[in-house]
Amino acid sequence: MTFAIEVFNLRKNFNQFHLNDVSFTLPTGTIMGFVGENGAGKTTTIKCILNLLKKDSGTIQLFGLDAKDDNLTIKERIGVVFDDIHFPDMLSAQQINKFLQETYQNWDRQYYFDLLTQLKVPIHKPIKELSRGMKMKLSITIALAHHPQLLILDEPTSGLDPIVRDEILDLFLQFMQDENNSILFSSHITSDLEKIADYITFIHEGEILFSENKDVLLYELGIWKGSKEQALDLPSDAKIRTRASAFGVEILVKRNEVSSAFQLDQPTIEDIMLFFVKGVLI
Amino acid sequence: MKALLLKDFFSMKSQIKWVFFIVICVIGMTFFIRDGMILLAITLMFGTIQVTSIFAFDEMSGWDKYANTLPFRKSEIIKSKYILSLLLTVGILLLVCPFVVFSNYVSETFKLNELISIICLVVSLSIVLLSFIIPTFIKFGMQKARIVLFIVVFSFSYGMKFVLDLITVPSLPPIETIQRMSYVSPIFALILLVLSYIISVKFYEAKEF
Repeated sequence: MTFAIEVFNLRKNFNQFHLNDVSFTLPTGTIMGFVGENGAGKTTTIKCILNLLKKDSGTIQLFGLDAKDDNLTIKERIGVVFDDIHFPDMLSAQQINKFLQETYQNWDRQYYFDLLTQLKVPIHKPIKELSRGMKMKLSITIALAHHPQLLILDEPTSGLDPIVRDEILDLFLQFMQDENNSILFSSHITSDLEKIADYITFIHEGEILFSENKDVLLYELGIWKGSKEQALDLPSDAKIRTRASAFGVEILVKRNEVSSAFQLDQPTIEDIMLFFVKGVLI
Repeated sequence: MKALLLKDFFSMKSQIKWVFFIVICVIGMTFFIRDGMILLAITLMFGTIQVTSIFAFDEMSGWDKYANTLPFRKSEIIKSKYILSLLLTVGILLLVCPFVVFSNYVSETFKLNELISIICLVVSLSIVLLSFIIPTFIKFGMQKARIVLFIVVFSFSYGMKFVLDLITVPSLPPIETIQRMSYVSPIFALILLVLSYIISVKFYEAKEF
């Protein structure tokens, strides 16, 4: 198996926050949802991967290349989307094309304009006159038009309506038709990740709590609801996290370690996140 | 490099109308007050302001964060700002020099050699100014840099006055020597610009985005 991203024991210290031994791998050909509450360390991790922040220790490799030493080679092969478009707002899509065809060796002008037409993004309007949805569509088109092998997305769908989000998710799925392509997708909107992600990596207070196959999370875990007394009947090895609820307790359990006599609900990624952040270990 | 220069020219394009408007006003004013040097000084200062505008546009859009995800070396990003500054200086010089010479021909204010030495000094001053402004913007960002530049200019002016009050100023060298020095002043200004570029790259490489 090859990996698009390999992060091992990444550390980055700030005054009031630090990334602590962050490790995860993104297999080639897959989409990883990178989730966590505000300030958990998602953007810091992404910035370290992109060399926008200098790591204190640890190793980061993209396509098996060192993220720092092979910086320029890597940047030809990645597309990056932040939560806003970071071009001066007087530039138009047409002018951005001229800039980027001088930037990337592999810039595909035709594909760029085809995507803009498909997404109905005005070509001659300056960025400042575009809606937020249009800006993000332009930003994603820019990231795709040099045929990268890896997309690194930092909250690309935040603040967008469901229609635009759906169009954008379709673009990502279209991108994933090539099995050599991969996506690291940081988002608060866990429903988007449930639609497209293969793996979920959850970061909390600068530490990775889990990095797991999405299907394993959604189908091998279950939520049991009942009273504290009833909860004693559950095998203790099956319990992962417990939360108090209005009617007793809710327990996140390993489905295969619990008898079928117990009725279990299927969790969402949001439920799992809440169990890990608000719940307690038993 | 070409890409980065293109992006900066596109950013400035929206201001082109204003640039021409101001240059035409200054050209008109020059003939009215019959002093071409004002035209040269104002337009070169205007070029410097354009460079600061580019830094402001970049900062407002978070450009540096994005630019550092593109396949550019950090030194290339900085070099493009210096080349842009030089292109603006040379461009403005070529644009206004004919008017300066013509205005001087009409007004007969300066002899030709005096005119050339003044042009050299004004251009050098403009380059020296850029050599200080660019690293300051890179190190501190637009908001803090304005305050830093104000403090530097203020301290320098008062510091000079204080020093001059304390010491006896030796008499100035003869005008011919000053004139000869002014001819080579752009070379010294360019050396300062190269040093400024090296410092700016160091500042930029140490930056996080």
